Amino acid sequence: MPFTQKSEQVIKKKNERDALDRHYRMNRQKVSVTLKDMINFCRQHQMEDPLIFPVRENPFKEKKTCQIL
Amino acid sequence: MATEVLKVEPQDSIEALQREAEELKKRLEEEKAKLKDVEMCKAASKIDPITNFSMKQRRHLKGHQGKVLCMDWSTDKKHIVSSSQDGKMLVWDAFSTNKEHAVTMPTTWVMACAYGPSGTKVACGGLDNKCTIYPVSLDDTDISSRKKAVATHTSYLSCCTFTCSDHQILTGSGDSTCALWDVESGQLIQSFHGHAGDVMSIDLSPSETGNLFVSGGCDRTAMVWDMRYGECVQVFEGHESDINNVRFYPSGDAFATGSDDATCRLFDLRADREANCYKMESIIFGCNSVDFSISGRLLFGGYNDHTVNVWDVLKGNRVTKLYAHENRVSCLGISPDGTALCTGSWDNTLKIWA
Repeated sequence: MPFTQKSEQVIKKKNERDALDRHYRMNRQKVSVTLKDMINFCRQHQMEDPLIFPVRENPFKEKKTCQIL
Repeated sequence: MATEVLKVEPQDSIEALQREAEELKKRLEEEKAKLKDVEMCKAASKIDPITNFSMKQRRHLKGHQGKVLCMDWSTDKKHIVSSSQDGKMLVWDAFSTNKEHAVTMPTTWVMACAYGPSGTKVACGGLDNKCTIYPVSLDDTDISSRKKAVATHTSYLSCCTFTCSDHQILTGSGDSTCALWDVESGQLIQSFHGHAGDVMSIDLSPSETGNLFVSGGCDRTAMVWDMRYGECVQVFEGHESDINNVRFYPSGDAFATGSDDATCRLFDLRADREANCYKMESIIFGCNSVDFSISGRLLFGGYNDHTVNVWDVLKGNRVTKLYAHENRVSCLGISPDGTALCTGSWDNTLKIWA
């Protein structure tokens, strides 16, 4: 294998190892904790979600009354 | 001197590095397994199900002469940019369904398009391997004359998105890299290497402190990157085929993926693992595009069987199925205020649902 090709491969492998190392050392949290936060986020914002609780003034929905009259 | 350069430290040999990587992978899996103390459907069992969900087609945007490949909403919640296999990019007034601008690109298959946060710029690209930026204003009838080529990849441009300002744009490409560019100078700010296949989709973290973005591609992995350093900080595996689309959950703590393996998945950044998988035995076609409703409760997926499946993110069940188009649903997006869904299809049209 030519030297440059080999050193390129070493650099690539090193980067891979370093990325894995960073990933390994990250601060991980319990699923029960993160899911609770995710569920709470939904709960807090659900009432203002127009696709779950339709709003009166949705510009894409045709008005029921005829505006010209 | 030459011998010194050639000397490779023993711990830096390819084999040693490989061994180290394998060991890290193993330990990583062990760490992750320790923290899985509950299933999502169980955690959400006490939540009320979604009832009376209804969504109808409100607009039909016709004008493309080929498959619609990509779309994006303007922050004004009214305009939409779309790009197509016919080599055109169109800017629509989604309320009136009027086409306000049409740009002809040098090549067919314009796979990526995006609106700038200010609503005065659009970007697009595809088989030309470039990302070109156009100013958009109603007074300007010929926006092509003021175009600006910003990014160049060594393969097709698959996706692009402006960062929080019009000054920087992030691109993903078939050359398996992502890159951040300065719009004004066209210079490369940072490139992101790590995917082992075509990058298909990118999305920026919505959290204010976030310098993170996620990318997904044909190597079946999704990667989370720190934009400042060009470093990959997390890798998520699990899909059994290409990842076509990635989209952040509105809180920024998770992201969804749509894949050719006919599933959508939710990956939790903080727990560093897959949180849910949205699938049914009857769904056998690939998912091309995903997006969340603004509360994050609903996940919309556009599929190759011409439908849109709407999933309850927390409970994991399908809420409804929209018979959306006459061909593949290639792209979709929720309007910035969450009032409507836009879908684009290989049937050459886009539709607005609310």
